[in-house]
Order: sequence, then structure tokens, then C-alpha cells
Amino acid sequence: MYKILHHKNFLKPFFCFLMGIVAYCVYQEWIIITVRLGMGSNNNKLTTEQKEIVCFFYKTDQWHTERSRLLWSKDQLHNLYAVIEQWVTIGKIEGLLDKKIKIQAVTISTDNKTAYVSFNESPLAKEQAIYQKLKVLEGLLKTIKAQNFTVTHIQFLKDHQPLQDSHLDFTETWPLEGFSQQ
Amino acid sequence: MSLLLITQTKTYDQPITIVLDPAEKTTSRTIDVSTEYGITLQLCLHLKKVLEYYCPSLKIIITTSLAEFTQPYKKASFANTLQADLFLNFSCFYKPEGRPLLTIYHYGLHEAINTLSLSCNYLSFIPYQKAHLTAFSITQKYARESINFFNGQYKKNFECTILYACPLLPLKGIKVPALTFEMGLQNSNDWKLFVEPLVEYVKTRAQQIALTRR
Repeated sequence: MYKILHHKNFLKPFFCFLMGIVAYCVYQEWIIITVRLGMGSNNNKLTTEQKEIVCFFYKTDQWHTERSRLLWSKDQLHNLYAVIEQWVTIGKIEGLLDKKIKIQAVTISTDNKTAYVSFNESPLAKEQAIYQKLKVLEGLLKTIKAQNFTVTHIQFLKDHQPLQDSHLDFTETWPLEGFSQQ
Repeated sequence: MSLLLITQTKTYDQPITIVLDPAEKTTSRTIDVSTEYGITLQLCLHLKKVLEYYCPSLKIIITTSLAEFTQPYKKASFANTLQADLFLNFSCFYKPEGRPLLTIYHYGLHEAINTLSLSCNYLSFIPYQKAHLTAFSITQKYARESINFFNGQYKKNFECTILYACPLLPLKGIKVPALTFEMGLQNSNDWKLFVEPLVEYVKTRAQQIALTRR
């Protein structure tokens, strides 16, 4: 047995077999490989400064703003995550969003034009009117737009899949300008 | 091919086809104890009955009366194949206070996509996310006119609010003019307030379509 294991002709096929199993597991999504972004790492901390941001939200048929201070780094992704997180926090305080809502991930496309925002729950209440749902999301879009990111469109996701809603379609990206009244 | 050409060209003697689309069964909005689907289906059935009585020349089709329509794309496919003249989707939500509300929507994406000109004929394949461009200008015109119509004559019945163009799931993939009417109701019987205005609206629209065909 010892001789078989240490035989040159056995090691190569065994290694290939092992790699095959790993590749199959990755393909089947039994093993998920993710790369942790350096958010909050020492490099970012060195370049952070405080910045005042304005969060927009629609309540009682009018737009409201809330000013807050965030740690601003040179990393756009870090800033975008912080802005969305702040908007979600304000939304929960104002009773616009469910308290269970959390951001799972925020990523930006390679051309820096589209941001992908994944929530654990839909930020839209099922009982809301279509225009109320539009206004909730427009609040987030306005908030992001006000920070002058290079991002122009947002793809809303839930559990890393396009957000599902009975009335609104999230398979396409949403522009930061929103869908204003005609 | 010639047969296709004949069937694809609508003549003035062909009936005007209006598709009425109640809300999906899967939506979970309720008013009192009634579901959104139940209320909008009642409205559609009532509209069909009244319209067929007063305008027998109109062809009124309710999407959910056929069992196979379970997905929005199938409804869109049906409306496109039928070359309907107007597709009206209905939905409603609970409005706890104030007058009943009517909000009008049509399908729209980013401004860049909406302003694209779709150069194709009826034999071309069109991506489903660009299908609305086939009749975009007509849809916009119908939507603006409907706002004026409801705010003019029927202001006493309900409040009609500003029009939104947004990516609406029930209107996705539809090539014919399509609108969504969303009603804000305080109780489940308030849909009756919308019957007369909607009948008049469809009648007026059908007359205008008939005039443009000639």
C-alpha cells in the first residue's frame, strides 16, 4: 500500500482526480470561492476622511433629507457601501424599510458604470402602491446620485438574484435619475 | 408569405380589440378581505359586460379567462399575436384615507432606451425589453390623453394622479399600446366608482382608433 501511494504513476492521476472533484464541487456550487474585499482594511483607514452626505427619502407625500457624516475613503466601492448602509439605517428609523433588511453585497462593474446591490430581503413592502415603491427606490437612487459616483445605473438584487416584485421589473438596471413623473 | 401580409394588415372593418388584464393571482395586496386579483377580475368582467352591451362591435378579451395565462410574458405574447389595439392592465391597493385614487403607468426604461428608434418591420425579432418601443409614442399619447380625460369629466369620482413611465412587469414585452391603471381603494366595493369612467374612456378610445384606421 505504501509503495502504491508513493509510486510516481499513481500521484499524477490521483492529483488530477482530486482537482476534478474540487472543480465539480465549484461547478455545482457545493464549494463557493469568494474573494474578500479589503473593506475596513488598514490601507483604507489611512486614506479616510469625514464627509457629510445627504440621504433622501419620501414620506407623507413629500421628499425629506437627512444629513449624516461618514468615513470617506478613496475606494469608491467602500464609499458606495457606506452610503447605501446609511440610507438603509435611516429608512429603518423612519419606518420606510423593514428592520430585517440588510445589505449582503455591493459590487461595481469593471466599467464603473453599474453597481450591483444585493439585499437579504426586498426593500419594498408588498402592500405598497406602485408609485410608493418607485419613490422608496428613487430615494436610494437620489442619495447615490448626490455623492457624484461614477456609477450611473443600479441593479437591485435579493440573495444575489434579480429582485422579485409583483409589479416592478428588476431584471434591467435602474438609472440614477429614476423614473420621474412624465 | 402573402397570407401573412394579409393577416398582419388591419383594415377598418376588423373589430377593435381591447385586452383587459386583471392583476396577477400571485400579488398579495388585499382590501378588506378581498384580494387584488379578485377585485380587478370583478372590474374586468363588469367592464366586458357593459362594453359588449353598448359597443357590440368591440372585441373585449380578459386575459385570465383563458387557463393557460399564468405568466406575464404569455399575456404579452397573446396581445402581440392578436395585434390588440389597446392592452389595459388593472391593479389596486389599500388607501386608508382620502378619496379613491387612479394612477396611470406605462412601460418605460432609461431615457436612452426610450428614445431609441426601432427600425424593424413586423417580421423582425425584437428583444422583449425593447418591445414597448414599437408603440412607444402612441402609448405616451394615450397615457397623456387618459390623464386629461379622467381629470376632466370624472374628477368627482376619484383623484387621477400624474403618469409614471417605469419598468412594469405586467406590461413587459407588449408591442401594442399598453397602460396600467392602479386604483387606490378604501374598501373592496370602491372599484364600482371606476366602471363608468373606464367604459367611457374605452368607448372614446375605440372611436379614435376607428377614425385613425380609415
